[in-house]
Parts: sequence; C-alpha cells; structure tokens
Amino acid sequence: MGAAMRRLALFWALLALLAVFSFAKNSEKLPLPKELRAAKLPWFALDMKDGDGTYNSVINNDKLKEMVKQKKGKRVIFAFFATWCIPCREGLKLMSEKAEELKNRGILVVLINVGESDYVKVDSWVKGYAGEDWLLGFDKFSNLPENFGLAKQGVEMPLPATLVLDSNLRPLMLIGQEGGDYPQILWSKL
Amino acid sequence: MSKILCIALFFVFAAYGQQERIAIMNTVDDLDSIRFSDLSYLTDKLRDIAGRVLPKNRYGIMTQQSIVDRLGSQERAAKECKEASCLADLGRKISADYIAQGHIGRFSGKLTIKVELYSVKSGNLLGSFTGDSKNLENLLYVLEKESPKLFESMLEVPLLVDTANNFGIFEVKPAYLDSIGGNSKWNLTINDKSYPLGAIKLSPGHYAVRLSHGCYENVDFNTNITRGSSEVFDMARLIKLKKAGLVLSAERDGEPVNEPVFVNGKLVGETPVSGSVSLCSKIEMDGKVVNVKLEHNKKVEYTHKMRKKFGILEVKPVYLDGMGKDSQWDLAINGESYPLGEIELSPGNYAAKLSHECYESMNFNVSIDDGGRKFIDMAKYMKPKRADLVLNAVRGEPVLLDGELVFSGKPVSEPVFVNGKLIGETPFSGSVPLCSKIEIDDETVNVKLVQDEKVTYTHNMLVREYDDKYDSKIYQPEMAEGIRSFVLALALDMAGVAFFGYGISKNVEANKMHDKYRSISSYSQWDIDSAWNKVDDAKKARNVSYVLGSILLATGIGVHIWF
Repeated sequence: MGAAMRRLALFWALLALLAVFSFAKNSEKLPLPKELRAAKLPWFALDMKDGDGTYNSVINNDKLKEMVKQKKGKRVIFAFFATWCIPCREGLKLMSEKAEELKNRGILVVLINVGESDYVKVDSWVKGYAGEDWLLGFDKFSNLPENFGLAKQGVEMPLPATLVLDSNLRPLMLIGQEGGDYPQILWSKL
Repeated sequence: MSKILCIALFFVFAAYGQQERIAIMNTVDDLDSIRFSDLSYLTDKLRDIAGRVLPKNRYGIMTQQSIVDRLGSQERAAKECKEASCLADLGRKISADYIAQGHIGRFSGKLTIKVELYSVKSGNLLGSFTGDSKNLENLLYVLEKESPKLFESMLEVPLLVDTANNFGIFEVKPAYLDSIGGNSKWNLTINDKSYPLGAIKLSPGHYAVRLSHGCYENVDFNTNITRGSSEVFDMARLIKLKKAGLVLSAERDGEPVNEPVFVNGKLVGETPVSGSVSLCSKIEMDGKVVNVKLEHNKKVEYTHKMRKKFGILEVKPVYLDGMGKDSQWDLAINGESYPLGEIELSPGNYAAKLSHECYESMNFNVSIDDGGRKFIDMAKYMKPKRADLVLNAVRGEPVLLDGELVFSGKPVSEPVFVNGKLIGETPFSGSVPLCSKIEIDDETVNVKLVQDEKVTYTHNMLVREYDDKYDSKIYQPEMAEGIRSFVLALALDMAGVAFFGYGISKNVEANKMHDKYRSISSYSQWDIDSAWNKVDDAKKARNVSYVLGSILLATGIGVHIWF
C-alpha cells in the first residue's frame, strides 16, 4: 500500500473514531423533586473540617448564602459523592480538570459526601479530585438527600448526582450520570 | 524512628479528628413543673458530668450553638427538643453519634426525672435512669448520682462514683390560704442567709428560720439539724394574711352603676361596697380584675371606671408569595371604608368587603359581641388575579441603527422565576398572577400585565464578559439530538459514497494498468514488475476503498434508522 493510501486510510479511521465518540450520550438530566421546586431551598447542615483538624464546623443555608455573596458567585454546584462510587470518581475528575474555568465563571463547588462516617478517610480520598477553593461537606446520616427529596428515608441516595443552584440557592437543574456534554452542562444555563 | 513518630502522630491527630459527638439536649418539662432556669441548670449539670466522665480525645460534647447551627434556629432547636418522639431521629438531624435528654414529669405529687441515652447510628437505647423526689434539690442529687453511670455505658471501663454525704435535710413546703399570693414565692432565710424553698442540705447545728411574703405576716422559728435527719416544716398552721380596708364604687361612661363585686371568686355585694379584705385579694367586677392598690392596715377608697361595650374585628393583611402592598387594600364594612387592622365595633352583625389590585374581591358576614374579638382569615379565601404571559429573552447589546439606538441580539433560553419559583425557561408561555415578580435568570422583568388578557413581552439582556470567551463551549440543549444525528449520518453517507467513488476510479485505473501490462512490449524484467505493481496497487486501493465505503455507508444508514 502506498504512503498516500496509508495516510488517507488513517484520516478516515480517525474520522470514524470521532463519529463514534460524538455518539456518547448526553448527561442524564433528572426532574427536580417537589422539595426542590419550592421558592426556598430546604434546610441543610453539613459537617466541615475546621482549623484545629476536627470536623465540628457546620455549613448550612445561611452560611453558604453568605459565602456566595462574599465571593460574588453566580452559581453553586452540589456534587454528591461517596468513595465507593466509581462513576462519581469519573465525574469529579472531569470537574477538577475544569476547576479553573469553574472559578472564572463564578461557580462555587460544594462536594458532599453522603452516608460515610470516616471523615479522615474521605478527606484524604477527595484530595486527588478536588479544586483548591472547593468546599467539602459531610452528611453521614444522609439528612440532606432526604430533606431535598433526593432519597427516601432509610434508602441509599442514587449516585452520582449533581445539583445546580443559582446565587440565591434556588435549584436550577439536577444531573445524574455524567455524559459527553459534562461538565459543560453545568454552566449551560449561565 | 522519625517515621514511627510521624505515624504515631498521624494516628493521634486522626483520633482527635474522628471524635464522636454526643449531644445533650435541653431537659424538657411538659407539665411546666419547674422553672426554666432550673431546667437549664439540670441540662448544664448533665453536660458537665458527661464532660468529666468521657475521655476528651474520643468524645466531644456538642455545644448549644453547634446544635442550633445544625437545626437552623434557636426556636427550632427548642421545638425539636420537645417534639422529637424519637431521640435517635433528632440525633441524625444534628449529626450526633450519641444523644441524651432528661425529662421532668410528675407522679403521685412527686417530681420525676428520666434521662435516656441513645446511639444514633443503631437507634438503640444505651442506657437510662429514672428517679423521683418531692423537691428539686433531691432530684438533682439523683441526677448527680446516676448520670455518671449512664455515660460510662458508652465506655468499656466504668469509673468509680463518690456517693459520700454528711448533712441533714430541712424542707419547707410552701402553703397559701385560699390560694392568695400563690403567684409570688415565699422568701426563706436561715441564719440571715437566703435559700430557695424545698429540701435543703444543711450541716448539723442550730438555725434561726424566717419566712416572709408580701401577702402574709412574717413567720419566725428555730430548728435543730442532725446528720442524716430529715425535717419537713408545715407552714400552713402558722401563716396569717395581711389585711386592708376598702370602699369600692363603679362608673360606666362617667355614670355610677351597681355592679356585683367578687373577692377571691366569692360574691361579697354590689357597688358601692365597703369592708376588710386581705392585702393580696383578687377583686373582680364585670368579669375583669380591679387593680386597686391596697395597703396593710389602711383604708382605701377606689372608683372602678368601666369601658363602653364594643367588640373588635381584626383584619390583618396577608399576601400570597409576597404579592401586593398594604396601601392597596380597601376594606368596607356596611358600605363604610375602614383601614385594615383592629377595628372597634358596637355589638351587631356586619357585611365586610375586601378589595385589592392583586386579588379577587372577598365578602364576609361577621357578628360582633361585646368584649369579643373576630378575626377575618383572608388567607383561606384569597385568589390572585391572573394574566396570560408569553415571555421571550434576547441576549445582545444596543446598537446605533439609522441614528436610533436599538437592541440587537439573539433569542436565548434562560430560567424563568415567578415569585422566586422556577417555572420554566424562555420562550415561556403560561398563566401568571397579575402582581407576581417575574425574573429571568437574576434580572427582574418589568412587564405590565393586564388581568385575564394575554401579554407578549421580550426581555433584553446584555451579553456578559465571558459569553464571547466561552461561546463555542456553551451547551446547546435546544439543538435536538435528531438534527445532530441526521447531520452525522449524512456525513457518514457522504464519506461512504466518496470511498465507493474512489474505489470505482481505482478499479478503472487497475483495468487500464492491466491493459498496459498485457500490451507491454519491453522484455526488461524491471518494466514488467513495475507495470504489475501498478496494477496491484490500484487493486488494493480499490478493495480498501470498497470495504471502508461499505462500513461508512452501513453505519450512516444505521444512524438514519436508529436515531
């Protein structure tokens, strides 16, 4: 086979590959549960690490609102995850690669660990995936998913899940499994 | 060595980082048997004992502020503490690992205490204790004795508790004649030092006791306390009421009237009336308490002025989703206009009508009694006036066109909020309340709505800083999957056809080369090989093109069919 022929074949093979990748499904947009369609975000309170290395700090609606105001944030992303959830790992990786762009767009990211009580382990696991300014909240009893209507009481929350909120903490969009349009879909409404 | 030290330090810090949290909720008293300050003291005592018993590296006592931060507000924390039928559920809400709470109750005239400790994760009751006493002092003694054992149940090694005592108990039970003065307490001094009433621990010895009260004459006596003794003083047999003289008359709208007079609930006559009454008597006329200031052993003359007869109609403005202002309300009662609020009306029946720019008119019939109060709960009947809205959004910028500034941009899909609730995206079409606050993204839309009419409005939005920069990356959910797959399928079809075309041209070329090869006149082996190689190359190119063309065309057709 001549060199020209080989180059042509390679070109078409790449074209075919591109076509196959463009078939990748879009992210799974989920309907907002009725709890999240109200004017006010349901109450939440998450444990956070504080200055002395313990996990006695709290972030709640009021504190997060204040933080968004201070940082002049435009959107807030609640990225729910657990260390056992493999697809969550992929989603966080994708998002951490775009950490700079998220910051430039004024998006505040809150990683929310659901249902795990070993905070030290989760904290060290998440370091490989988190952006610098991202917040890490812990919800060992899954109170937040239940209050938000994302999980029934006593039933594990389906993961992965990402909730997009506006600067007034009003829910805009809920995403399940990430697709080919992720993470662009996170700021599609900006 | 340093590695071992580092590892050891890591585990130490990790252990501190992973402190388990214990929440000691406010002690509750459903029957209001004891004062709030006493309840708080019992809670503080429980927290103090837990802090002493439990090792600090393993357990952290949650502060009240930390509990409030997790529940949202002080009010909610107080409410939750009373209403949580299951303590473990409350523990989950505040992310505690253990939760304890004391309950004060009553049984057969005695005060009772129950303290329970739960593991939040398992929901299991780890331990509890109960106790009872006639007074709070002894109840505290029960709590101090039993609660260390309760918190020890969280540990593997129990601690020793010192229960030694060296005192006698002196108890004074409060008493009142005809319940007079029951709303204020007796003051107790022992050797000129003040004590609260109830059981008091006293060292053995002699004591001078005085009981005083604003409504009673002082009671003085001595007592002797020995180790382990328990003396209860019954004051009822010794107390005497302070007395005063009273001349009482009554007026209504400036005119003297004869009204029945009740002293401590007993009818004593009609005004004008005079006699001796106890200093703290409850004197009532016309269903109301007469606030006359009496002085011990003195005569007081008092005229009670009574009000005219009327009832109150209360109409408080209410708004659905914050729509409307107070000034927009119009209240008419029997055709006469009134401001909203508390309206004094003579007893009788009234027809009230409420009108507002944002709400449908409401009509009510109300009956007013003397001294009565009626409340019009408009929230039950309110219906907002509505309008149909077709809302579009355009993002762009103002440009100068023929000397005139016009807005130029392209339609965009943006979230639409009505009174703060997300109801859809632009382009939006639907019914909305007439006075609703309409927002697109973070911008308020100033559209003038007309009741029961359809209004079409386009909201202009300026391009933001990052729109250009990231324009190419903006996700376009509006670009339908169908269109994208159609374009893709078409591209695959065309690529397939192109390969086929290329294959056909190579086939023609191969035939020509083959003819040349057959008609070659040279006897040079190089010429013959060269001619055959050309035929061979053309055939190979043809075959590859046919195969690729077939695959691409088949894939394209597949996309057409499946998507």
